[in-house]
Amino acid sequence: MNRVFWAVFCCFLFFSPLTSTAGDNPFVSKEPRKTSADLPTHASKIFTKIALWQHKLNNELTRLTKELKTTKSKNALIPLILLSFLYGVIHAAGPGHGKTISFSYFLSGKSQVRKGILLGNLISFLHTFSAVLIVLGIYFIFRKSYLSSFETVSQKLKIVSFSLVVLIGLALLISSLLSLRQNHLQKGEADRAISCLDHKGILPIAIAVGVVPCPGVVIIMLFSLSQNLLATGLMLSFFMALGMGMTISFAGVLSIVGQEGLLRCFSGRNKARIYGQRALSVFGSLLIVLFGMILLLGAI
Amino acid sequence: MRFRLCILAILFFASQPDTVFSHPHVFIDNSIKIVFSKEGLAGFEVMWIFDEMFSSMLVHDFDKNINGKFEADEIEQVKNGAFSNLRKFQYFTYIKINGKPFRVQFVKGFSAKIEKDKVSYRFFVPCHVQAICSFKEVKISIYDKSFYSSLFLTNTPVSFQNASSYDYQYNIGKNTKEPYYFGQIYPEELTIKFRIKDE
Repeated sequence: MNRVFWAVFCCFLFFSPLTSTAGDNPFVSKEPRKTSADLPTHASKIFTKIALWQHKLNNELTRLTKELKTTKSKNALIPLILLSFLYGVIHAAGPGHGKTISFSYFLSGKSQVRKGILLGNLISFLHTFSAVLIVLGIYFIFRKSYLSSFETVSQKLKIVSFSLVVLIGLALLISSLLSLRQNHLQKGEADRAISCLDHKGILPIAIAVGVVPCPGVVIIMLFSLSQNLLATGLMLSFFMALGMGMTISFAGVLSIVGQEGLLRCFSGRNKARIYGQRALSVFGSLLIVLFGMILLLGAI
Repeated sequence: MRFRLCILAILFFASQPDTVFSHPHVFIDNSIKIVFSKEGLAGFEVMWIFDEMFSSMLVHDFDKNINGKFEADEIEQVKNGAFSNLRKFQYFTYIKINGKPFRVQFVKGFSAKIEKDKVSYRFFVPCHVQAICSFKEVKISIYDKSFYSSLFLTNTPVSFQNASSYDYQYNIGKNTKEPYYFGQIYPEELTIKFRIKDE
């Protein structure tokens, strides 16, 4: 039984970073590069359902935005706010939006739940802000084709983003490996040893992941602009960011709470607890480096 | 037990595909017309209707005279700017003739239209399969492997043209043998069987 368990563990460990791509728009992007390995289909129905829900929400958002334009009624505004929030939650529930990076990041060190929530929201709002800025730039200043301009800008930002993810991952990895050399095994020093792996700041990883514009927000902004509803577009983007933030935060919080639970299994065994924490730290950092590298290779 | 559960929870998350950007972003209602000729199957006429949000992007980029419709020169620009690139992605169209893959290299008769604020594409995928007295089987799936776009079959997804000389049957199901997007999604597959009608 144990052998089977660890075999599954190793398979996951090996394949997980391979399931990352840059996610370009096929209508204008370069030929896809095979950088992924297929996993067993364990979530087929979930992803199909998520896509279907998004399709329905997308239709409803469109209808309500047009209704708001014609009636200027507050009756359309409240459901629009709620739906854009819900759209954000579901939009980020599908694959992507840096949930795995957020999860791996918190796996690479001890942290607090509030930091998990903060990182999720920071990623989401930066992701949205970047998209809004690009749309407004293209619309009011450059007045170019959205499809190709967005792809060009997005492509460059992706390279910056993925490079930063790799660098942060490497920094965390080095720090984790250095901590392996420390020896705090005396009684009462376990907590101090674990706190060595505390995350000092979450802003760098938030910027690294969030700098890439969210195409979902871009499309909502463009649609609002096409209806001459700039303020509505900004409002929808804000609530969508709030919704996405909730989902991304969930990944971070799950990582922090899961790690706590795991380490609690070693209660009373300080040595095992410290080594468990360090192993998770190295594993999390390695995941970030590998995710980043594969995304970067897919983007250049 | 708790230890293993925690490990599995961590592994589940670590194994999820992370494209950094969530998908899908474009929603397409898809229908297929199966076109026959004197010899047998001639190909498939595919129609895509984009969601209004993505349509607004296409309209902004290509309806240069802002008259709410695409003229011939604008259709040419749509083709060059937001369609021809799909050749690299086989136009999202995957065909098998009697079990053997048929790679879509080109399509014909592209046209684009704006109707009720939605942009639609129509194009023909040539796929010649001669009909004989016994049934031949052709399978077609239309999906975006990158999942940037999600294609949904419409309520009346299949129609036939020039099929009066043939016995035919079709069904739509999930292809569970070839999931896409990191093995996470089963594509919908249309299976057509046809033969020359008995005199």
